[in-house]
Amino acid sequence: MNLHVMRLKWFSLLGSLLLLVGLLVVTFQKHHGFALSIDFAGGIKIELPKTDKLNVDTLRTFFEAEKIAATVQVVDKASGNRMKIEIGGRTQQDLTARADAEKAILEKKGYPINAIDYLKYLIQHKLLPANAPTVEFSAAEQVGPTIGQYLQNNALYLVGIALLLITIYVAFRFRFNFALGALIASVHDLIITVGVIGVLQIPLSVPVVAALLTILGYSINDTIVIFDRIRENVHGQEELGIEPVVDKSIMQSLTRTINTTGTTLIAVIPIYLFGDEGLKDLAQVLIFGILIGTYSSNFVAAPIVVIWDNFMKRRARA
Amino acid sequence: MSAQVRFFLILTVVGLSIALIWPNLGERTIRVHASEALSPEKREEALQRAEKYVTQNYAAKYTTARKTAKPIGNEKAAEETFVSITGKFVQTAFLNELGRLEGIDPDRILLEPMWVEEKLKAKPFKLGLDLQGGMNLVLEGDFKKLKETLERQYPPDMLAGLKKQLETETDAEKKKNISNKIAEINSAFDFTPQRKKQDVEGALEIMRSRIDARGVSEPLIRMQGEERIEISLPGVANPDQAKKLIASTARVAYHIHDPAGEAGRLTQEANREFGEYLKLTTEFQRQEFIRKLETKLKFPKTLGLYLSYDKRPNAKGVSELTATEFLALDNQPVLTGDQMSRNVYATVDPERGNYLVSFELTAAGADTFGKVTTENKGKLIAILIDNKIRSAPRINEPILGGRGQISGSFSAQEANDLALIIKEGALPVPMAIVEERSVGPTLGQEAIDSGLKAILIGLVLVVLYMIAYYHASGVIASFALVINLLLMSAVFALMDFTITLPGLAGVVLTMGMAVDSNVIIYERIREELRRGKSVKLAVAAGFERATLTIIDSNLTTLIAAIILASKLGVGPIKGFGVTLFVGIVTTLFTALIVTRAFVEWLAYSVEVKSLSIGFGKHRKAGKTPAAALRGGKV
Repeated sequence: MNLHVMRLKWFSLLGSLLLLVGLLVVTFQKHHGFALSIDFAGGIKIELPKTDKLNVDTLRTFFEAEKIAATVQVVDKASGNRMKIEIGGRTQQDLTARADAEKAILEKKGYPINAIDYLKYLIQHKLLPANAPTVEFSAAEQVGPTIGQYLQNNALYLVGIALLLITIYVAFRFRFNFALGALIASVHDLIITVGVIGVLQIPLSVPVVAALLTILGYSINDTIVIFDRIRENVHGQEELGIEPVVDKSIMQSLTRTINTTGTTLIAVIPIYLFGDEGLKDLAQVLIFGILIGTYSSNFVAAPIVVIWDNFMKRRARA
Repeated sequence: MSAQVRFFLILTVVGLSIALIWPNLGERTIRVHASEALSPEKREEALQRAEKYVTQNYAAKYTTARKTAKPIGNEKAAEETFVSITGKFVQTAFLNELGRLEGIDPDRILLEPMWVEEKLKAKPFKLGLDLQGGMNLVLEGDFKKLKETLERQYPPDMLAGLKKQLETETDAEKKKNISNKIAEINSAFDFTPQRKKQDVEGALEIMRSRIDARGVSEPLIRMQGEERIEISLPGVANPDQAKKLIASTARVAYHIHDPAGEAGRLTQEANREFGEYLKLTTEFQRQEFIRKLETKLKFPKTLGLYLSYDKRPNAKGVSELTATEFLALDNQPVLTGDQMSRNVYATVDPERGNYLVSFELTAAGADTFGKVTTENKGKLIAILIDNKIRSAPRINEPILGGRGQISGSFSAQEANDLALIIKEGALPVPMAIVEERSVGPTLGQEAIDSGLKAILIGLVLVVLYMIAYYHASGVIASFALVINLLLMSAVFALMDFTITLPGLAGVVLTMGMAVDSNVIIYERIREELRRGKSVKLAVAAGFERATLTIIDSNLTTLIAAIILASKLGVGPIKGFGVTLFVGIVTTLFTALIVTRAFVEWLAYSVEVKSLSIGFGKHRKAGKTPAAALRGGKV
């Protein structure tokens, strides 16, 4: 069996470009940008057990009456019914101001003066009757938006340096056009995965950033395996031009490509199915990223090697 | 490398790895002692409390027993009864939970060391707070608030006055004093980045000693950037209490009140409006009221209006700190907590039976305090804690010995906390909590359970896939994969690396990439077999070609890992980089040493005629193209 994958090279590159534009358009036009977790937007997240008096409905009604913009939802956990309350950065600031205004009462009841403790105070003392047992908040997070910005800048900067060094290494070990292919394929994978994150509105969080970095590593690894095969096959075949060599290399690596992608996916899918909510997002990003990374090694990185090679040959002839 | 050497190497590495992670797998024993200061009955109660806590919350995980022995490492001491808890996967968070029980001594909760820990420096895994539960705080220096406090201490026109004085002063000695004072004020308001960093670092040290004094094990306290402090406390289940202790800026200060002078008159006038003040409901209104009253009564710059507090029963009969009256004081304190030496402790007043805090002053402090009390004999000296007057005794005679007591209707706990805070000093700058995350212990356990379950299912599926596709060689690959995970765990244990939830996911991905190396090797061998080579030749050629590919692809990924794990990376990014880095190194080892050793052993030593590597057996020599094709799709 011998498919001439490289005949499709312009088609696949154009396809990638369209996909990329499409994903970003949907993200920004339909969803007005990315969903942000509190890691990035700042805000409050608390988890608490569900009881008769304390449930999604009573909380929603209460927040409406108190004019607090909050989302309340049930989260599925092994240890029974839990609810999650999330509050955005702006409301968090309002709450801080209100906590400050009611400082005296809070101090009397032994609550520190800040937004999250004010929220706990409201639930315990305003929503629930005086004799209600103390609510056990199983998790509480309060974050300023700065960590997200810090991470965003830092992550971008680090990815930039890593890509630069990888490009230099590949150019040194292979040839310049291979380095170009690897670089474009990596950037392609990152942008498309980010696009998928935007379209699915997976909230950007620290684990999601970690997943994106993982994709970078996986994608490069995958690309180099194909390149290695091309480099090996190219010897003594210079006369034919690189295109048939690339076709042959991709076909030779096909079983390996399928098996590696298959095993990695079946290792990640259980995380999506059985993991906690934070891990679910991470696993989702990994699953798409692995598929995109595998695709790009064959249909982005390799075509660029061929196109560049053809272009240089044509220029040499002319 | 000969086969024997290779197998010896593998055995050594595997044995060492198991030893290193043994503290996590084997059964551990924890000794829980009661606080030494308690009476025997109270100790017994505390021990029973600990037993009850474990049986109620962790019956499935730990078993308790009562034992009597001499303390470890102190053979001379008397035998003591303690609770011995045995179980697997003991987390620091659990130890800290036990330490919070009443009557239990947090400093004497001992994890009996295992043999491997003593000999090999093996350590239990460190789990992130997302996995073991606990609290994470980020605090930021509140320099705005500090400026406000300083402005009260050094009013703006004080500086102008001093400067004017400096011009007219002729005496050299006094001139020097004044210019020193000016320099002091200027430096107090000079908020340079270096100074801010220094203040925050000072606050960090104080917080560290406050946390240490509470016996929290494995706290993480570090600077984050220039003006922030990050604190992680595993297993601290009550965030409110911890927050109060850590961020408390309680400042102790002594101010003079002269009842015969201006201050006495202003106090009387102000107290006529005290009833009005009590009617106010918000803190803001109260502050506003005091400021207006000061203007109305024409307070001189040196005096300020303060509030006296006392414990009074409220409507429910619970005693609480209530404002009782106004008192006009000198704004300039005569003595502050930082002039007290570290010899500060809570005592009981033998006459009245209430709690006091006794202190000794530093040499310089004793000097000023002696001078001030001599000069101000007969006046009142107000003791302020956090700007609240807690008591205002009369100075009957000069206090010259450099010793003193703070009275102020304290409870035992309050007196102890105050002594601790004075001992460590008030924070150089008030700290505001900007970020906080807390995870309850059950939630952390759930995260571990679900994470481990996901990894195990993934592992089983990968193993099944590999065996279904590559048959006996798949078994070797699976074996290599298990060794890979073992090695990664051992390296993590050795590096004291903190494992987090995203980190676990990183491990799963490494599993995928580790399998990739085996796939590359096997596909190469199959290709060679398909070309009709003998098993021996195919294995040799397969490894030769695959090695280059594996090294090239892993080295490229290693570049990314090194950058992310380097000093440039922060927090989660760095952690992720480390996971990837370790994974790549162990993968290179398992693919190029472990898999190779087993496959070559089959080919060269056992001299198998056919290698079981998937989809039909490959004969020694490919007879027909059809036979070759059975080896798999081309």
